[in-house]
Amino acid sequence: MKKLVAVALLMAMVFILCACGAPEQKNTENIKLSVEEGARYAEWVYSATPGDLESADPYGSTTARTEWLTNMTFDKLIAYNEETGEMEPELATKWESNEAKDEWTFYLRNDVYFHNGDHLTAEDVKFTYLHTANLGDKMNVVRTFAAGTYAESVEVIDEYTVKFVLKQPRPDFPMYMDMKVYSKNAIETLGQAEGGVIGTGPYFFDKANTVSGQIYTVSRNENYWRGTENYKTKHIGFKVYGDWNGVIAALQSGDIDFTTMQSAHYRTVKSDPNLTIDEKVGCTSYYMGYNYTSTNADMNDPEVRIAIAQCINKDDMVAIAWEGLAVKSDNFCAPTGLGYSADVKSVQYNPEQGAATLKEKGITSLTIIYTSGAPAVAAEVIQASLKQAGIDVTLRLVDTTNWASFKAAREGYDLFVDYGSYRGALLYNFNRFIHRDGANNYTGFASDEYETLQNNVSAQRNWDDMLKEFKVLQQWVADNVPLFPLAYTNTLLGRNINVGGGYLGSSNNGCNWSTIYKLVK
Amino acid sequence: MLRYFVKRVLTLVPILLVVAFLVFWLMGQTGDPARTMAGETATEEQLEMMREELGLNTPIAVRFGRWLSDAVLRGDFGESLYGKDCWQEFALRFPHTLKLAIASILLTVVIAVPFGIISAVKQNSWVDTLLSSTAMLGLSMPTFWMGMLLIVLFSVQLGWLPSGGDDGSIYSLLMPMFCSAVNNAALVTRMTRSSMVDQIRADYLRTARAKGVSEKKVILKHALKNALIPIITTIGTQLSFLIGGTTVIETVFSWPGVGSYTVASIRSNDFMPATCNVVLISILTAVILLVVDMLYAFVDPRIKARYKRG
Amino acid sequence: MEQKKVLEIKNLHVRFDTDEAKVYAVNGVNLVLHEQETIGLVGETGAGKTTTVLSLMRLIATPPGVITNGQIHVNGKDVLAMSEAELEAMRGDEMAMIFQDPMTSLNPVMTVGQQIAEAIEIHENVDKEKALELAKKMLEMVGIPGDRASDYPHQFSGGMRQRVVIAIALACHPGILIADEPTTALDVTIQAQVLDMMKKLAEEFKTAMILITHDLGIVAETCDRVAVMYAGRIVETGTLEDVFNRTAHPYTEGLFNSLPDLTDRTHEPRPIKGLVPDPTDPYNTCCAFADRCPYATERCKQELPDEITLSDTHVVACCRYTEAGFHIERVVENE
Repeated sequence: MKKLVAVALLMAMVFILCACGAPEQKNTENIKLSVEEGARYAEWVYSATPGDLESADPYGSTTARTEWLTNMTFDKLIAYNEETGEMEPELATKWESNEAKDEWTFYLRNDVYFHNGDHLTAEDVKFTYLHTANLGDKMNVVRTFAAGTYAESVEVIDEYTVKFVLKQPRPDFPMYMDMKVYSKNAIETLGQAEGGVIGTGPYFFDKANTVSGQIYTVSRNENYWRGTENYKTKHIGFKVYGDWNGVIAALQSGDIDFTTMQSAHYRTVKSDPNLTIDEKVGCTSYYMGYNYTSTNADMNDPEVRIAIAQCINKDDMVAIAWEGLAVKSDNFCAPTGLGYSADVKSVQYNPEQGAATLKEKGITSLTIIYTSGAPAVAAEVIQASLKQAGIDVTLRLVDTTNWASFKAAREGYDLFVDYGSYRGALLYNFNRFIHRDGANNYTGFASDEYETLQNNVSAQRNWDDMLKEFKVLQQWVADNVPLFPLAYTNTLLGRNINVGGGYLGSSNNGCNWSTIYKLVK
Repeated sequence: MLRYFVKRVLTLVPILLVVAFLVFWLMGQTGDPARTMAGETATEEQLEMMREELGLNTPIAVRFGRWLSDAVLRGDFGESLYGKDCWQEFALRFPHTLKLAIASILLTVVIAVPFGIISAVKQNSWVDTLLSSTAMLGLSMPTFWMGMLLIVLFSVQLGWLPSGGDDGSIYSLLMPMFCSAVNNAALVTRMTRSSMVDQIRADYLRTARAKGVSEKKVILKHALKNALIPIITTIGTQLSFLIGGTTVIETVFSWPGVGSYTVASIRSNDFMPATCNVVLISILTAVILLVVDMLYAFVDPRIKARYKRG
Repeated sequence: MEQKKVLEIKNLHVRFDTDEAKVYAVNGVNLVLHEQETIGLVGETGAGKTTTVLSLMRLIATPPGVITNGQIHVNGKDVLAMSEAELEAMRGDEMAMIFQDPMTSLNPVMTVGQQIAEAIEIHENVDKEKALELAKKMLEMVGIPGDRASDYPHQFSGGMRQRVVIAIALACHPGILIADEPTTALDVTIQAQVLDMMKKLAEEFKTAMILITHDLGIVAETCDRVAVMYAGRIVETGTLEDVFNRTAHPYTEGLFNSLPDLTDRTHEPRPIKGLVPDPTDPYNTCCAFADRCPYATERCKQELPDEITLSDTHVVACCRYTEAGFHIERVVENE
């Protein structure tokens, strides 16, 4: 009798699980729908992020999720087009400068309203610029606006005209002005937390459909100045998942409709008949950094840097670390980056010569640090490459939580694998990664020659000249390898076959999902 | 009894204070919140400004004192880096964790206690072997792996259950509940079995049988009540673990609970919510263990007598 | 005089099958218990006394215990043929048992009142309150104040606990009471009290009793008849008079000889020589006592002794009594 009970209980567990789920079956059809055949647009489209939204305020956090969301809820003064490399009108229809390039005037649209009904005026632009220029004393914002310190003063000429008077001439000033614009009134009356999420974008941050830790939602702004024609979806919900595995499972099960994804899940999603993947060359640039204060190898000697770089087989790395979903890079500047020069050639793979130089320099062993995931695989490829040149490479995995401080300490390692998003103004990335005072210069690289060249770019009074000088700088960096570019990884969008629209950018931050739609029967 | 209770509660206070301080201090050792806040592009100057802003330059003891007095006097457990109220965020997530914990413990008890009893009664029979090896399997199966398998089967392949999150329905609860119950059930089965085996040959059961008490009652009324203490201890300990939120389960099933939130906070160097969660959970854990201790008294009059003596 | 038989055991065999060996605990016990009679079941530890009485209630743990052969009739009903439900109805109602160790034979997590009331609830058709009320009365009968019914076993001394056990056993006024060394675990001073009380209650409730003991003194004070067990068999049964004064079996003689004599200080106790019987040997082809018996002949080692009736009341299982004129030493001395 009790034997029967035991078996029955076991069976029951399985059956409860089966029976409870039985009513709905989600994943059976893989028919591609079309509007012509009577399909309509779904009111809700879902995506997911592996982690909760930090802030819906564009300057409230520095993370991709925040930028991703506020790309939909805010408009920029003017917008950078990754495809063309040009700035385009958005809230400002046109902009101009004086001859000296130290006064820039922006002319605003007169038909733009914030989500709370406030009318956009020059005061809002001025307010935003000054409000985000510095980390204020009351923690207004946590992300400073890059060009915040460039202006001496901001003048409101009339309701729709604003003039920036700069401290020094800057022909590239507009390149910085992809500034998401706050409503002055909203922040002043509602406070930063409430007012800081109110923008002019095609969607508004929908608090009613947002639950901390579970889902955050944007809903369509029916009074959008561009009209709502291109914005087919009423609500775009972002479900919060525990990790990427959860996000991908949700995509496969139909719980969400689209998501950016990592190369590790490429095959899983590719093999699912209901799903498809969009790919794009990304601006996430992987590079190998040197430790310029290493006692083990003299990294200040360019020959050593070049020799190490020569040993590294980037083709293998792209194939192994990113399963081919990346492009090997010759230039630290990403192809979608402002002022990118396709002519630049970095140190080429030449293991024989590299090995000979290293032998001559008496280098026999190196230590490399990295974080888990793709950098770890890349580090292993570097290890294998250098092994062939007779160098023993010690691998040292560092936890992401300690990564920044570990790198910055510059102790106990010679090389590191890292990556950064290459976006923003002309010198922005070079300045922060390579310049001796750069916030992301973890290497300790310091070169007068480099700084002269960089200053030379800034010193130009004409945009075309700046681009020309920047090209020189790119080549110098490629030849002298203060850091060694490895690859740009592709950005990937996994979506249901009936999901369309949206803009897959060269990085997660650059994506804009406001035009995403999903067809349903 | 009351005296014992009061004594226990009083001894908790210094323990919790030490725990709170350790958590507060250790959290600060694992990374730099200013770096997280200001982002990768921040300069050292900006970082310093941010540290000042966040009050990270104040000595730890002062910060702890301030935090503690705010927490105790005003119920203000601080704010996350992004300005969310820690207590509110905890209160938002805790019901999910609690729901999962209770569902999982109930399932555990429903599966494990009968299995353990059957195993003990049918000691060394094939049923016992089957149940014991099932329990062994349950114990050794990594939760993470089992969770993924369940999701692949029930969400991806069959499309019967949501792949994650808590939509408030029983469907979304099933997989996480089952997954976290399996390990616990395995443990409770073994505990119940061994505890029952100790009792099953006891003399007082023979007395009960000699009175004419039916075998079912002998096992369920006489033996089980005596075997209950180790079982309650195990279940209570597990409940206190679950109350803290099983990070692995909550992450795999994207369950919006306290555990995954705490880990996510730690990973992003957001220490206030993490500290607040850990401290609140410590209090709850202490309370649960105290309740378990008190339960002993109801189960076993000998322990009650000991408590009475203080 | 022909008394009513309340219990009849015929040729009972019980074996324990363990992984290591088969243990032959009871090897053909025959015993009759009459109404209101008290039998003392005497023998060394391991003689099979407890196993025999547990078998009567079918309380042998199965496995490893197996009743391999024999018949047990309680009030004319065949116990070995009873269903589980019939057994439960019989236990505690028609036949009850008192166990050796009062420290472990009570459930530590139930009040003594509950434990007594449980038996009443099962067998008498009464509700909970009534049962508890009767339980209190029962407690008072064994000399414990009724208001202590809500106390737990750990609040009682050993002697008090044994009184509770007795109260449980007698709660439903069973016709047969089996007391398995009820006083062994108690202080000597309390032994007599408990025994007297038990005896008194048994008389009051007209209960027949099997008293297991190895204390011949207790037997002399309490019992009407005596059965002596050795190696799973009853070797001698008779009235007190028969066994004590007309001892027939060499083993019984050995038992008496091994007692110290308090009246004669020069008397040396003479323990039985030789080893205790091997429990894994069923002894079904010889006398189990033959190896230790001073009277043993070759025949004793080759055949199983029959039960020989010496008088209406006196039966002995010894081959030598088939020989005319055989008698043992002790009897000679006494005469």
